[in-house]
Amino acid sequence: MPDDQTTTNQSPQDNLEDLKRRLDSAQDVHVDPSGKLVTQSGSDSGSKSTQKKTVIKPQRWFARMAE
Amino acid sequence: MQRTQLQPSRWHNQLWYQANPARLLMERKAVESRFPQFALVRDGEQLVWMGKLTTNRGEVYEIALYYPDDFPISPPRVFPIVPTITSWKNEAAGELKHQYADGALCLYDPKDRTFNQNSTAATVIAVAAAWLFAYETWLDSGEWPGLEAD
Repeated sequence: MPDDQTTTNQSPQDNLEDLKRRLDSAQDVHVDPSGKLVTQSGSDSGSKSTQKKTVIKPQRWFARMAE
Repeated sequence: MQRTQLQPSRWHNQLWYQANPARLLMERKAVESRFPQFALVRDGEQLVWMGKLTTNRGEVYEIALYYPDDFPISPPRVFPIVPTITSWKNEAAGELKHQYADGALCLYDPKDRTFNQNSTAATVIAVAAAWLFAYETWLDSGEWPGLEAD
């Protein structure tokens, strides 16, 4: 779709919304020093805008144990 | 007379970034140095830079820059993702102002070949930023600043 500059059946708004949804689940990649494309680990099922990470604060565990 | 259509990016069944890793590296360096807020993602086989631009008026736009299969012969294409902009010139007639029918921003006049094959995605992002400035000016004043192809 993004390569096509010709008329599409969808409205531009619908087209952009579809694109946004696709990009939400797009795969993160990076380029290594040799110019090779590398898929970032842990992003296979990740989502650009809805990715949720569990944040662990280990220092709190020790704080509780000391109480 | 029949012409043979060549697809340079598919020579040896390789995509442009597989066939030309030096160019891919140049693209990465150019974007990361000028627009560090942009991230590289893959949509199918296509490479896409995604990131946010803030205009002088403080509005934030997220855009997606798609490399075409025949890059750098053809320039990358830029889509306004958040918000999804549709700059209607005549909505009833389905005519957009400086956008293609699929919503991609019209950044270059196709006739004047202003896109140079040495231009990187960083240059295209800068042109997209100028487009957003022009878009906001047009919303306010009804006038599109600069030259218009249509």
